[in-house]
Order: sequence, then C-alpha cells, then structure tokens
Amino acid sequence: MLIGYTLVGTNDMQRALAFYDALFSAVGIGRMIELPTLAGWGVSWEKPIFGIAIPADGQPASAGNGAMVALGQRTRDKVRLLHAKALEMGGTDHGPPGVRGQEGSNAFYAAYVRDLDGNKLCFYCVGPGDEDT
Amino acid sequence: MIGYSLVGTNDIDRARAFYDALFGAIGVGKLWDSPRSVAWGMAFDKPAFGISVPHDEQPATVGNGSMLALAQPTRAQVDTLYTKAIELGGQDEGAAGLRGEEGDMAFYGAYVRDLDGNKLCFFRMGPADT
Repeated sequence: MLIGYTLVGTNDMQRALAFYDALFSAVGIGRMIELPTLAGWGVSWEKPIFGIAIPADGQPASAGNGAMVALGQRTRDKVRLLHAKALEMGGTDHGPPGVRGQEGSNAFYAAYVRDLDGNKLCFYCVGPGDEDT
Repeated sequence: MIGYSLVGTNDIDRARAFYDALFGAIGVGKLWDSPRSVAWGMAFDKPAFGISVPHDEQPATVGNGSMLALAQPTRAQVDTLYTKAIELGGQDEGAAGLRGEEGDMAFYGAYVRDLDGNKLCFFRMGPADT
C-alpha cells in the first residue's frame, strides 16, 4: 500500500494551476494530469502525485486543520527554493527553512507554507547539510 | 516526491485504533507513533500516511476537496479496506467498483471517510485480479 495521490481543494482552479505550475517548475516538475476539476503534478506515474481539486460535492473548498502534505526534496537548497517561490507566488509563511531537531546525518530540514487556498505544505530534506554531501 | 501526508484528528487514540485495525487488515504497520502524530506505511523510503493533532492547538477539521488515495496491489485489497473501514465506523462515500471502463488501465476504487471525516480513496489501477 502506497499513497497513489493526494488532493487538496481549491476554489479557483486557474489561480491554483498558476501557483503550482510556477512552484513545481522551479524544481523541474511538470503537470501530469489536467481535467476540468482536477490537476496533478509529479515526477512519474509510478510515484505519488500531488494534485488540486474542485470539491466533488459542489460546496466551497476548505483547508483541513491538522492536514498537511509533505514533499520530500533531495537537497536543502531545493527546500529553500520551494519555500521562497511559494511566498513569491503569494503563499503564506508557516515556518522558514531550517533544521527541526538536531543537526546530523538524519537531520530534518524543513519549511512550511500555505497555498492560496490555505492548504498546508511542508518541503523537507532528511540528511546532513548540502555542503556535507 | 510526496514524503508523507497527514490528516487531522480530534481524538488521536480513537484515530490510532481505527487505522491500526484498518491497515492491520492488509498487513501494513506503524512507522512512527509520537504524542501528536502517528503514521503507517511500508517503509521509511516510501510515502507514509499519518494522522496528527493540529499544530495550532485549534480543533482538527476536514478540508473539502482534500482526499488521500491509497494505491493497492489488488482489487481484493480495495474490497478488504473498504469493508473494514465501514465495519470500524467509517462512512461510505462510494462502494468498491470500477469507475469508467474495464481494461488494462481500469480504475477500481472505493471511497470512505474516517471517524474525523477525512476522505480516503482505496484504489487499484489495472486489469481485474487473476
């Protein structure tokens, strides 16, 4: 059992498309699916896809409190890049890039943002600092 | 790229018991269990699914439009999870079955909400189980 895909809701598909296109293209990731009510980005069909959707019930989209999608990155540099890009695109800061916990070979380096619909995202990298690798 | 994905809960003990029983039905165990967050998965290098108590100390809520889709290796396993989720008190949001056409790329899915109302999909992409 694996996460196949995870969707967050949006009330403005065009605005959300523009936000995530710009965000993910900063790390070379493109769109994999685009339907009228759903779009998804990912590295390949064999890997989990992150997507946005207009709610199936026709009610306004909302962000779940306690819900978060965490996107793993290979380097701390990419964590910083994504955090900066998300803010540049109008996302809100929920924790700047930095080590949470102890530095070391299994250090957790993360940054937190909310997208334009308020959905919480984490960008993170597990491992030693980039300069050590 | 997805490392893990969390949904919120207002009762972490109840949610832990729900997901332990649910994922136990297909042999998937916990990867971590901390006071504010618990996660299940196959291995640390695979995406994990988890529950968490909100960081801001406000009540957990369900995001409308949010859904976690958990890929399964067989249709039988989709059926198992769907049945188990409902047995454990989850809410039916769409019975196990084909969405669209049968075939090599057929989408067999089932939809439920957990005890906090978070929407889940169990699915298998591919031909019928042999």
